Amino acid sequence: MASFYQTLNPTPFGFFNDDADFQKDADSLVLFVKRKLGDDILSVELTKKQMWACFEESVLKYGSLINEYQTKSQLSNLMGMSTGSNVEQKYAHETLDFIMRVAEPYAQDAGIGGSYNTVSGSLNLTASVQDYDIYRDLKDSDGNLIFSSSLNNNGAGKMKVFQVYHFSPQAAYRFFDTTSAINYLNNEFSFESFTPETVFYVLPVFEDVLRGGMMDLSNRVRRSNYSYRTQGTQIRIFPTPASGSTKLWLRVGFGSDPFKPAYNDGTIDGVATISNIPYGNIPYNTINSMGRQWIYQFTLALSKELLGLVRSKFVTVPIPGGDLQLNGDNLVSNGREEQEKLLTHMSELLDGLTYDKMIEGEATKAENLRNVLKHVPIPMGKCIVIG
Amino acid sequence: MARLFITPRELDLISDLNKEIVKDVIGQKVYYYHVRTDLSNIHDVYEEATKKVFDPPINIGARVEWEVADIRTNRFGSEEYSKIKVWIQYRDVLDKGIAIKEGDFLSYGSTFFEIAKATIDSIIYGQIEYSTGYILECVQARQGLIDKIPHGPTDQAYSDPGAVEKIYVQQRGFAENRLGPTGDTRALIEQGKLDLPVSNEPAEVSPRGATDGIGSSFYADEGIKE
Repeated sequence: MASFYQTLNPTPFGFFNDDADFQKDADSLVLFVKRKLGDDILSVELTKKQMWACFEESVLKYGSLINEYQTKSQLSNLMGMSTGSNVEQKYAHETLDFIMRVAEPYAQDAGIGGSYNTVSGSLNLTASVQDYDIYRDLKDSDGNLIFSSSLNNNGAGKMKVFQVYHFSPQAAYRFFDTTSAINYLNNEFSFESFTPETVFYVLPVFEDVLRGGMMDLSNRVRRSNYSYRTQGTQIRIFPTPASGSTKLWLRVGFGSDPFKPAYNDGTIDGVATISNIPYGNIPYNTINSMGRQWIYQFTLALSKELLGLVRSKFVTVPIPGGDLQLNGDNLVSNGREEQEKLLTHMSELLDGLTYDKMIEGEATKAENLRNVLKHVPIPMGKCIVIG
Repeated sequence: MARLFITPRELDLISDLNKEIVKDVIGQKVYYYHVRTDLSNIHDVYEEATKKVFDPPINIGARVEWEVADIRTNRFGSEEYSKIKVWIQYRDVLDKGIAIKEGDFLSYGSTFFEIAKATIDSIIYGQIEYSTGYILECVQARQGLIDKIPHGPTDQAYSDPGAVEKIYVQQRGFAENRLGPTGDTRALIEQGKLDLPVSNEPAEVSPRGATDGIGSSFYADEGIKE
């Protein structure tokens, strides 16, 4: 009998043909499968190539299940990475890249990050004119229309106002000392970020931050008559400009093309879905005995189904003086049932071992351990057990 | 069934299944005695040879239907008159190079029978060139027509060796088994599509495998020391 090594094209895909462990097990599996199907007593109408095809399919199926499981745990860490080199069976570090990417648009809208640039421009205010068209009148320092900027796909998108610099910041002088004449003057000359006062506070820093914020908000809401309202392409400013020599500055952004951020982002062409994670076939010689046992059993189940398909080509076979009933249907259903059981077992096992589940398990273990320690007697009152 | 689905390859499978069921499971057999008309002295008037010359008997796996013997009484007394119906696989007959003919003889048990009628049982899936086998309707040969010692098994009442088949060995496509040459071939094995059994020898039912006093059991394991 020709061995696996001596056979030309022994498997359909040939992924593992050069693996010495695979070659060895392939020959042993022929004996295993045939013997389990009763070939010692009655013929098993399967060729070696058919059994080796089942073997290869089993290894591929095993690898696929393992990679799927790993995907559940690792996809968020692998998103965006290069699809070039295989990373199956590797223990990747956790990153926050995926979460940060998801959070980007919120940061963008809050004006504290994001992947898209905003631009500032100004409106030339005219005395006694409250209403201005942002799309028509907002220009950069060179007098170019902001709406027609290349950032806005040359005027093809919508403009979004992020900020209108239309207020008179005056929190600082109130922050330190509202009675100081110097503070009033500083404020008047826009030096409000600096203070000549020397004030000592023994307070936590967040108190300063909170108080500053409260004052700023108070000024904006209760004391300032500087406000604006946007609707459609228009902005209406309050109060009505008294003179025409000033500019109103705005910061605006444009519609976001998800594949064209402000920078050259190579991650867009990286791992994006389960289909392009660089998980290759798991090399057979790296599979441990647990995995191989599953593969043997799955090979047997596939072979059983295959034998059933061969035998069920004919329901009955004519023999001299009668008909012979073949057991093809039984073998097919039996083989499929065994495959289902093996797949279910493996899926349940892997589902319980995703990183999420492992963390849950560790938490439960820690909690249980704490409960156990609570009941450990304290020797002579010298030991402190927290719990 | 259409020739599109039943090709020579399928017919080989069917043939092998037939041989397996007859030779490796059922295990009935007859011994076929071909009359050599060219060597026998045939009477010119009666066109029958009183002293027939036979080829050596050939062991053929068969399915045998035993009919209850008819008792005939005449002025010389009563005699038992047996009939059997034998099914033989067509491909097996071809493999062994036998030409089945009416007038030939066969033995089954201790009785010799003459083939009174040989017909084709059926054709396989309507394909005229493939037949399942022969139906041989045999009548008990008159005494003197064939004078041979019957091959066993014959009857458990007899004490001679071979009266009871204590060792049954499968053939499984092996040219020889423990009992000698089989003359058996399996098409799919010959064509290299299937291998010989993994046990590397045909299984047998014999006292060899019985270590617990049952008397006989499957004996097929490789490497057991005798």
